[in-house]
Amino acid sequence: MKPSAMCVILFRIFPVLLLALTTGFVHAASIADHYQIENVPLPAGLDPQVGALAVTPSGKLMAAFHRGEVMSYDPAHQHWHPFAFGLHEPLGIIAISDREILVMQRPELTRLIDTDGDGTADVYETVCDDFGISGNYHEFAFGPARDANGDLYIGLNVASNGDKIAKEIRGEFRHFGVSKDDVIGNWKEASGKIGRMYSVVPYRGWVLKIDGKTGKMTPFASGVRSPNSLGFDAEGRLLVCDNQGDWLGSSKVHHIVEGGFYGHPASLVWRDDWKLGNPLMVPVAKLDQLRTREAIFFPQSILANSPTQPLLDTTAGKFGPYANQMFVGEMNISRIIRLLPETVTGVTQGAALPFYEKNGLTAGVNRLAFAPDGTLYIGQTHLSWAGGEGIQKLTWKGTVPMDVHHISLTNDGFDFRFTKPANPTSMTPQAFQIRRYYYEYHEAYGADTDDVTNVAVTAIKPGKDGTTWSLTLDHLKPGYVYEFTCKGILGTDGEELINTLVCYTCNRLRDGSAPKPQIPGTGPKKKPTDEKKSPDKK
Amino acid sequence: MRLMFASWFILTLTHDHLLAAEPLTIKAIAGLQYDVKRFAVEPGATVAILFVNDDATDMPHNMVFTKPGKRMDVVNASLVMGADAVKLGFVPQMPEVIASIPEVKPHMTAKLSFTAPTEKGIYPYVCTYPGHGLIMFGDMYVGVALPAIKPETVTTSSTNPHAFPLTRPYLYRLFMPDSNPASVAIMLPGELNLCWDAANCRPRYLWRGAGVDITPYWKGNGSGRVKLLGEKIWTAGIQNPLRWSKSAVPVIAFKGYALIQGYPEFHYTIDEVLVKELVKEHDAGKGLTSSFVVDSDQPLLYVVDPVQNALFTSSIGAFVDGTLTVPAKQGRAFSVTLILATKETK
Repeated sequence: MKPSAMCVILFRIFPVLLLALTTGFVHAASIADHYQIENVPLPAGLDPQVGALAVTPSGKLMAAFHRGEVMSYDPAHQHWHPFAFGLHEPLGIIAISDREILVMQRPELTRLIDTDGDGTADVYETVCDDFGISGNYHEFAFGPARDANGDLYIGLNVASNGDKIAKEIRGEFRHFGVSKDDVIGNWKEASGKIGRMYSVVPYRGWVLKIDGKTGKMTPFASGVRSPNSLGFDAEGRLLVCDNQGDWLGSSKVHHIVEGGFYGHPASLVWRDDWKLGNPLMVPVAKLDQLRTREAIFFPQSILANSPTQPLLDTTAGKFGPYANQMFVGEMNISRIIRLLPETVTGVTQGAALPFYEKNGLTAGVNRLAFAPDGTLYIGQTHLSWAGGEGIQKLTWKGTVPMDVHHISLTNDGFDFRFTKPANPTSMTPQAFQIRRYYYEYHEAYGADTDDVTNVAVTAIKPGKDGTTWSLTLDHLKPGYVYEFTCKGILGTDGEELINTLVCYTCNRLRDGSAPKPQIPGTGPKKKPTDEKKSPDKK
Repeated sequence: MRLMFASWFILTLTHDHLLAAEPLTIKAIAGLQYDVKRFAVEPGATVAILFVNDDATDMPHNMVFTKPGKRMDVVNASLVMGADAVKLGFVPQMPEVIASIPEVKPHMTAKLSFTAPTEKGIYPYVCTYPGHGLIMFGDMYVGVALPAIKPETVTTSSTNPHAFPLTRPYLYRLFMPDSNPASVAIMLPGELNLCWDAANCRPRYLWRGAGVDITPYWKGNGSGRVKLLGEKIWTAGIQNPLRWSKSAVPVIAFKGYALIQGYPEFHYTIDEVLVKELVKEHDAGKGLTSSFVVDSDQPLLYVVDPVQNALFTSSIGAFVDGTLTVPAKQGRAFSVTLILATKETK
């Protein structure tokens, strides 16, 4: 090592060394000090790509796999038993009892019942198939999530123009730019007109509500692309993750409310009041007016690449200091994320931050489920994307990690609350490096971080008990992600802050200020457009 | 995973030694793969690459050439780049990297030209986009001959794809060829297989043989098509056979199925009247018997296309011109048996 490099490193770690001297000790933080991860043994012969996980009230795990099986697992005896078979890409389960579950599969929401108690379902009852399927592989179906009334919510993917549709489809064909005959018979031309992701059968790109008693379907909200998947938070918000792609600058989570449109326009043709023809021909400014912004961004390649299921911590503390908060899986890299939504002047926004990563966690986290004893089951998949496979379980060891418990926007900055009191010496304005940026709303796949600007902390004040700290920022602007990178923060017990990245999506300021449009042509200093775009593709 | 690996190598394309003037096109394709898995150049030659991100699953990719044996070091370094990662297109700045194309968004292209190392060896190229580096890579052979490539071998797996034994009858819900995407493939005893359309609630065709090959679907994201294993031996007409009258088209709704000793009893409604249809092989697979329970005392019809290569019989009387008339109250229990015509020798 060159002496100059050594100097730089010394300079960088000097504040920590200083703290070590003043506090007596510093111990390097690892989430694995507080949580135990283990692999769940799986039966031989299984393709262990997990589409769905749920735990029954008695503590049995129900897991659905890529090849259409639902297997039940008795953790006490580590015994697997086939519960159901022959389902079409099951991607969601609600476990009502050891003998009855609801499963979302490509063609329908199905109730599986083991009527004779032999451990295997013998009734596959269709709860709702009142939506279209075109035969396109990308039309995955997600959910169900269940609200306090017992009603169910499912999310339907749009199709991908990586492939066409089948000659026969279920449901009406509708597209205002291309005919069904052209899609089937002249795909080469049609694929250039249909849109990168398309919705040519009813309610692709929608969240649907299904009456829990009658199975009657109501179209609920439009504008999602790949809603993997859905969950309710402690406040009763329906949170739906969506994946970076066309019209999505970065992956995100939406707070879905009835009648909302969430930005991916293909689905708009299925709105009863839709009169504007081909949504791809509607000006972006108009679509931007129609849409509800995402509640929380997962900045791409910074926090997550492919977020998955949001899950409420219902363990009342059995899983550690995050009771009533939300976890989210991440399929692409080894990480489970936490979500901290809040309401600011009636609008949902908030933070996302890492929770558990690496330390034995397999990548590909697609599904999460809590057992009554507070165990978090984790199911992985990949299909043709980056990910992993298998089932793991994560249990709390009973010690509290030094972590950000929550963060909330204030009039002039943010309040941070930690899980443990922070060492005041470590709580300096320099302990927070903040950048803010936004993602442009546009048709192209993904977006770069735009108008990236460093923001300084001008003041930091402790609350009463040392867990809460108020940061004043030199300015705040709505419509931006505020990305915090924490440096050198310690608990009073000397433990380093475990997760040092927090990404807060600021849709509104406390005074109600709303963002201006962030669409092509509105940026502060636009870079030249990407000249690499090949002319033959959309 | 290991199996997939093997098949990718088998599918490897070969390219002759490059001429400097001709760029080699390498595509990123679905399934985290480069279409070109290896190519050879002379030491010190100019290497020109046209990189096309043609991944139908819409992932960004890059291409990083590393020193021999340094692929995983570079991949691991790419995972800890922090905020620099996006700016640098996920290419770590380290001496083990000899050339690179930073992140290329889906359906974009990029060019790269560099001088091949003068030291002979096998130089990996790898996508260091997060999560891709473990499986998405190839090798540049510098002054080293390409190995002989084994021809592709098609293996029809006789091993059970599940964790428990499969014995007929069993079924899968699948995107089936020549049917609605909401279909059921039913493997019955006697090597008889039925495609039942769960959107229109009727049988569509029968084939005889091993059943279905789902591996093209299973091995990826579902874009691979299911194949019938065996010969199609009967195809239904275009209308629903069960109806109240010849002229009126009923409204049909699928309600699911119950498994009775493994055989599916489909439940659906015709104009809101519940119908149960249990399907079983007839006479060790020489035909198909459908047993109906219709929750109505109204008379009804079972109409088939008389040109079909099959004989229809019933528990309650004969078919006349392809139509079985089910008298009032008889709908509560009757069956229809399709007997497949044996092949005539001329």
